[in-house]
Amino acid sequence: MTVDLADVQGLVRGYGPRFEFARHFILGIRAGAGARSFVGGLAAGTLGDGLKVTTAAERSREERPSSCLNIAVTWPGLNELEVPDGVLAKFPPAFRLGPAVRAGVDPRKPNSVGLGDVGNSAPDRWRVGGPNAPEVHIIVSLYAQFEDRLNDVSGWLREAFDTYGLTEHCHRDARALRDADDGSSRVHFGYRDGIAQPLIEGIPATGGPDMQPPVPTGDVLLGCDYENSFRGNYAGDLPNALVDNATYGAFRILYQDVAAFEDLLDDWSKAAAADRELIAAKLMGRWRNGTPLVLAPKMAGSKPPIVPEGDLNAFDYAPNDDHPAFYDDAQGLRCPIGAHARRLNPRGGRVMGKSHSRRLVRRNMPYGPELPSGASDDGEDRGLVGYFLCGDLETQWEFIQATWVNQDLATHGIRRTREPIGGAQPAGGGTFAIPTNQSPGPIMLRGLPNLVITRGSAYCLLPGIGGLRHLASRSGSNGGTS
Amino acid sequence: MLPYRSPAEAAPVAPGPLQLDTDQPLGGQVQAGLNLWLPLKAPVQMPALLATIASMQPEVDDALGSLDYVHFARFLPSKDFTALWVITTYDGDLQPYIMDFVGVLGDVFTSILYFIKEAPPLPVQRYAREFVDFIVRHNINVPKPWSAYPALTVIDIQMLEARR
Repeated sequence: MTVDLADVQGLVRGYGPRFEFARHFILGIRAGAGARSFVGGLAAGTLGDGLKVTTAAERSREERPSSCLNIAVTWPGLNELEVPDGVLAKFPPAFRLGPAVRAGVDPRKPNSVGLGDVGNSAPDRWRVGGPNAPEVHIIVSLYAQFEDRLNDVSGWLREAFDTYGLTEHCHRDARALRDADDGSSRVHFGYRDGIAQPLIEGIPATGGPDMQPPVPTGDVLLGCDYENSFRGNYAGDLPNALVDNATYGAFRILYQDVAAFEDLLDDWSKAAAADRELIAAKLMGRWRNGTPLVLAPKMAGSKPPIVPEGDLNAFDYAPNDDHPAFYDDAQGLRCPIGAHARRLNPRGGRVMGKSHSRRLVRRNMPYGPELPSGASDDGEDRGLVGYFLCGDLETQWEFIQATWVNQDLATHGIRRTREPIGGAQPAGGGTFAIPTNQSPGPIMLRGLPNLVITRGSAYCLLPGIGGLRHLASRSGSNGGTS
Repeated sequence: MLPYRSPAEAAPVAPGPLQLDTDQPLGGQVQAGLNLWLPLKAPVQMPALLATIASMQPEVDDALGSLDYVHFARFLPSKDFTALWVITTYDGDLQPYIMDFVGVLGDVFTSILYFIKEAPPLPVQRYAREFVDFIVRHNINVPKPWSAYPALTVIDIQMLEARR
């Protein structure tokens, strides 16, 4: 499969660990014509220095500037850009309705939490994308190597927003957290981040081998006759000029309750008579240094184990065709069935449905200040912000949230539990099971609080470069003929 | 590759002084029924349709086996050959997993729907959303099927079988 990388926004391929800073501008459109000029100018690079959408073709240090830009448009945003009604109606329901509406829970299912955006995560509390926040039309995401560059480009962008009829509702800054010892990127909970990214057919690999089949191009990109995991194309009847090489993104602002997480490790390590780092590893499926439990299930003396860098993602939960002798962790003795990483990417493990068919490209960075080790909660806002990219929001993103994160049927060994890190836990706290091969069975740890709270969300289309030009043109709007 | 195989894995965490439980499922039935009523364009075509299905039976068996959520499935012609029934018992909700049917049984459904009155546009892989709508419309909702093991999924049962 050949992909025209110059037509794909760079965020799809990813920027690796190079950028320390990110800023997401949450925008509204005041005037459709001006906004179309902004979109077209950003695609063509005619708005000024540094104001050009970065493509997936710009990879080498020489080719890439010290900052990168991407642009995403919501369905209301496409409407404001005056995309014809007949085209707007062809977008999938999830994208049209947006995450706040889709978060609604089916009243016929009293035990359901839907996508998990309930309680403190409910849309009416969101600062971005909820019913009590301004309607989101466009999100411009800026990634920069240095803070000066971030601020310079931000200034140029804000001038363009004013010129082209865009209102900045708010912005959300992010900054990489670095491990003090090895410089690897971390999330606020202390886990190494960004290890498991899918290898996408037609897009050069950015990570190491992962013992999974490459993701079909059509699972991430629309149009261009790509095929997805279900042997179709998620573009449906949408015009190729608009959606070729586009991807959908679930933009999420996810608060992480670090103090509650560390308290939980204290409590559960006592309850299970186990090292708190082992509890952290069981919850995630990896040690906080990134080492997968399946490869190294025990402490190395008093420290978490380390495997070679190239092995961090080279594992499965079961033997597979290429590795028939691989350890079979069907019972979850090494990595609990309900661990975060295993629930969200079951790899070759037993799970309902077609294997390897719901992969997501994760493009998130931490926001907010670090909570010092051992400190109690300081009231600061901190967490992750960014995108989960996919070819279809309902089939991939929402399926994972509703079925793998917040329900308990997808496989064995997770009944009466929800995903421990991002799941919406029941009142009174959730339960987490650590399987053992000793009587009387799994260790059941209780009182799991909500560790992650949704603070904002928007469903976006990240068009290809050609799609951005089409949006900017009269033929892409009601003023044209299509 | 590192020698990760370990036939006698030690318990990762020794049971400690905490409340223990077994991994019992929630109350309520996890299985549901899909009862697709598919009227034929012409009853005279039923033998051809059944022959088509018979020729694809190995593919159907492999596909259903790969999904890990279908307990039983059968194709049943009506006595007067006016309709084909597709009757299955599966785990969980239908809607989230319809795309999995499309993925592994798309060609089979495309072949079957060729014979069916007011079929959605084909092939189903190309028109997945229309196929999903068609399935929902043609599913005859009836009370949940009786089950001798209402709380067990396909995976639960096969895992128990593997332990015997």
